[in-house]
Amino acid sequence: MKTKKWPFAYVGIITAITYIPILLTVVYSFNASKISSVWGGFSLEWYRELFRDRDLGEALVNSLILAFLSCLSAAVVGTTGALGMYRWKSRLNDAVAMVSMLPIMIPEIILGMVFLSVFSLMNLPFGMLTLVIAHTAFCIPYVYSMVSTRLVGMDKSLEEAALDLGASPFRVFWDVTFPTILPGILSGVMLAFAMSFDDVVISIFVTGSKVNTLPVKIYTKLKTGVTPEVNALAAVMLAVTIALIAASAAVGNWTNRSERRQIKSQEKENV
Amino acid sequence: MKKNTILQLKGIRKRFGETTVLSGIDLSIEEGEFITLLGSSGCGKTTTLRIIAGLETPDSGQVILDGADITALEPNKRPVNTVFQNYALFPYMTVADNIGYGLKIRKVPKPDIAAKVEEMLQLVQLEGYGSRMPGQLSGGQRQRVAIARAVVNEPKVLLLDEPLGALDLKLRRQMQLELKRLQKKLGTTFIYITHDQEEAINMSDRIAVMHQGVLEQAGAPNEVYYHPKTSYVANFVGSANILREGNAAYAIRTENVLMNGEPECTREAAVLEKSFAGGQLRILFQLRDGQRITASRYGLDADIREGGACRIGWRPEHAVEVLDDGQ
Amino acid sequence: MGNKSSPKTRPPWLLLAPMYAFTILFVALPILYMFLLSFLTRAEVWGVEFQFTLANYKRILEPLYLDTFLESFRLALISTALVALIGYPYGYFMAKMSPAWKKRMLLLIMIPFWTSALIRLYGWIIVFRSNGVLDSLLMGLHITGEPLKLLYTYPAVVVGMVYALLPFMILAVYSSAEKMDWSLVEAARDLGASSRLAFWTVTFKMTLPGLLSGVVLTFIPSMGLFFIADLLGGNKIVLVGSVIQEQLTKGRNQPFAAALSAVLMVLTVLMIRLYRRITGASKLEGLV
Repeated sequence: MKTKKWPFAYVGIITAITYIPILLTVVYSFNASKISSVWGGFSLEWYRELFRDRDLGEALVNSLILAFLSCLSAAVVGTTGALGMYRWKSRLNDAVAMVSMLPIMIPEIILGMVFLSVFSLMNLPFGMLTLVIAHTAFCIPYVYSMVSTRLVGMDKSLEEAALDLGASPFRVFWDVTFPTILPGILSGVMLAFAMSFDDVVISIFVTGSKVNTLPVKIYTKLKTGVTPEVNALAAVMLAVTIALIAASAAVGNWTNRSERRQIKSQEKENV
Repeated sequence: MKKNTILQLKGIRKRFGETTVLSGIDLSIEEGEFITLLGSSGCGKTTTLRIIAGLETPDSGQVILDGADITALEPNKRPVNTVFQNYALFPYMTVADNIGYGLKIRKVPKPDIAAKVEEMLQLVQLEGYGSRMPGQLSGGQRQRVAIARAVVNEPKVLLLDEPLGALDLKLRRQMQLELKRLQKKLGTTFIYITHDQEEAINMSDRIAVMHQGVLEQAGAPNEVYYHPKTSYVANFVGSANILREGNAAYAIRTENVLMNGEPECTREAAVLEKSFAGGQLRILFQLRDGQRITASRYGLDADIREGGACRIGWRPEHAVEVLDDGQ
Repeated sequence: MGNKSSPKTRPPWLLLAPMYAFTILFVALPILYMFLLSFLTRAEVWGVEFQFTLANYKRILEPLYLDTFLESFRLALISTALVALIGYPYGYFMAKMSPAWKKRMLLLIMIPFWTSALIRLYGWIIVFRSNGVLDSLLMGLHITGEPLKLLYTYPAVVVGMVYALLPFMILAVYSSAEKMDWSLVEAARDLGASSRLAFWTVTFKMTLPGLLSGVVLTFIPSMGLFFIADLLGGNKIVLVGSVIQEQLTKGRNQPFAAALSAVLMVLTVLMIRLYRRITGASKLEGLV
């Protein structure tokens, strides 16, 4: 089959369109004019304002703490759960696993609604605790399914080999199982972190009046009026995102290259 | 020459759900012996090996190692090591770390481990490969690492689960010789699993033929080959003809079937098919009573034509009476 | 033969306990409570009275709320159709790219995905705002004479929805097309099928789970994403999600919000069951 050019063009154009709004926020973050359609010259005014904004800073810290705590608890619950269900298979497990996936399958608004009503029934004070519980609920599925996938793909004879060579069950876990599932835990946590850090819908319902997360804060700002400092915030967040992705890609590239080197040396030997 | 019994299996039974995998295996293995469990897939040979390793628990029966009952002993506490079918090398450890793993578990001092590993690398002819990762090795090299990783622990019995199955024919032949040499050098008891009768005959001091969870016959290769006890063994080891006459069944090796000329050729047969494979001409005959007999010869034989007829026969001593198990 | 190991007789409760406890306590019971709540009565001032009623469900059938449901459905239908039309070819083409390009494209898709959804929406506000980027562009090119005032209109909301949900469709289609055995297409071509016929009889069928999974992941959420309707549609477009939010915050009517959520939940479960019935798969493609 010959390679056609237009599929590339199609993918390219759609991708470019998805970047338009993002790039616009960056461009306008340097706009001196407060009215976004008018270009009033280059300015760093909004960045200055952004860094002066105590509320936003506090919201950012809250969001980071929230994402960290939710990911940590999701990592523990999701990983132990995946391990337990891999070791012991039963109908009950399947049912629990299915229910535990619901938080990312049902619309976010339902989850928000459910948590709001349950927390007020339980008389829990709305704040960081309620946020962490709610976020953990939708973080667990990411960790659980990533770890489960690694476990299913694991070569069972590796565990047996370690056992055969004299390792205690604990050593087997530490030397064989854990290194196998670690990439799954990490990618699950990364995905969960992104989801938690970005969540508006669920947070709005369980955040209470004292604790604001960054997305909730941005949402209220956007609702109340035009605030060009949101542009600056967007640019900063985009820069951080790209830096993080570039870093992880660099790490990935590095491992790829060493893998490629391995394959090459192997080919040489086979010749 | 009577040697010590190192391993004894007594009445081993095992079921997985509804299927019976082993129905009473009894086997004694002598110290320093190279014994092969031979059988087609699903005959229970791998399960037997896993029960010896402790990776499977028998429903009933005993495993006795060097006089001690180890049936309930955990796999990590047995002085037995396994070379796994797919090698099962830890992919994120270097070759040296893989080989030294068992020693590290037993808390052998680091310098001693390094020395031992070096010795092992030499033994399996992989000097200088210690710092490589398993992914950087070829199949044959991985195989050697897997063997070294097991042997370094000086197990009382080494279990090998079809270790050459993934290699190509040429490399397999070479590794067969190497393994045999290694076994002689170490003097360790080897329990070897294969479905390849040629491999079994090549390497083993003794062959145990298994079929549907039953040990059909155990004996030296030529004993199993020339004096099969059952029709299954006769057929599986060297593919013999099974001729049924009255209530008796006889095994006749294909190379012992005579055609034309010889005075033993007393039976009328129709030539059904001629084929050439592995340097051998194989001719399929049908006797008057409908039973089919295959004859084999080295080289091409032009005299016999498909669709023709001829007289065939065999010397009486070449028809070995066997127990008929329907195979 | 390696996986013949006998099942462990004793469940590892220490490992299972956290997952079981969390799932039952914070997922299963709360959802059950939602269903219970939907049959209860709203208290006069604050909270809920434990008095059985069907009034909440009857209220959904009132024209005002029924219209909201129908309106949400219409928007979800339009958004999903557009997402499928744009996303399916994208995911399909991506799966046919070289491994290096696949990696690059996944990265390019992930960057917007990892940037805050709100900030991406804000970008569209800049585009659609009266005298905004789009207006300036169109007027500058003399295509239109006056500002279109696209912000706070239906099309703006549709764009926002499609934009927010497109990655889910792309990833779902991509993950099923990735797994596809392309030699099947070659076999179909070899057996005399035109490339179009080969596509519809082989490729489309094999990637259908991805497409349908994308539909499930797009359709239901689009009824709940109230903040998109809110920011790009102003007060003009009211989704089920907006009503739920309003009832919870301003209306303080938990039972009615629960009834609305329950209906949405039942619809979700039905769609997932339908997906399973059609594809025979237990997991949604490309969900995680």
